[in-house]
Amino acid sequence: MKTQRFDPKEIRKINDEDRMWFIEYWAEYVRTHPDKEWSRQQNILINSLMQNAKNSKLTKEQYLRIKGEIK
Amino acid sequence: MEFVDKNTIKLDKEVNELDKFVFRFIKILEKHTDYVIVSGYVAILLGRDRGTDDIDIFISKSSKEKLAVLYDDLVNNGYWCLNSSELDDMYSLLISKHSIRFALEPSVSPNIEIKFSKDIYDDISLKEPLIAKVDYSELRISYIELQIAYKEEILKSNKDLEDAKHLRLVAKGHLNENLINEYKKELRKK
Repeated sequence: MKTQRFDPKEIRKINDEDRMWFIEYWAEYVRTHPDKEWSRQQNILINSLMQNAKNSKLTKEQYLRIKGEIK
Repeated sequence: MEFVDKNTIKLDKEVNELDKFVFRFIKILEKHTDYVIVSGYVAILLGRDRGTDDIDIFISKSSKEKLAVLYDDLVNNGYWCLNSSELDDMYSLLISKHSIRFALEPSVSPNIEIKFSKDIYDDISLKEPLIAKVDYSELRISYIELQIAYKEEILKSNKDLEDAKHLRLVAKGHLNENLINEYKKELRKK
């Protein structure tokens, strides 16, 4: 059986193209729909990230280390 | 999203938890200093579908005494500084062009990342902000043209290029392309 090889550069290119397609699609949605409508969609993601952040157990030092602001 | 005039954008959006976090902080900050919100949160406020753990804000350079009054007010309202609890440390970070971060104690994220205005571009953002009217609040955000130029010319990460693309598309028909190019030209000289 032949195994298919994936070129990492090619995969990255496809990912970048997909992401850019989504940026365009979403921006067009925002531009052409009422604020209440797109924000309701956007808030599902943002509120869930905020909930995750609240549950984080990182200390100040750990957080600043991740950010590269202390060694 | 309504581009009311050159200096004002009105949003009739449903406010999310990140917006509430920002409004709450700004209510305290604006009592003490000029400010302008820049970078990721500007794109998010204008609809970009992503999160962020820090909100970047420039404030005017001020004295240590003024910073002390702001710090007291923040602490009395439940915030802590992630970098230090010593005023001297905070001030020396700011004066040396670094940032200090404030979050609601005991969490570390999201947080507000404050920097002193350090060059002419930060000053332009501070002195001539765009006013975003959201719900019953007003936020001072950086001009979209300057945000696009900075993200495309200086930052250039995937995330920043995507933010710039989003801003270009949602503000289509309201952007001054000459201004973007002018800012880019100046930023290249930095």
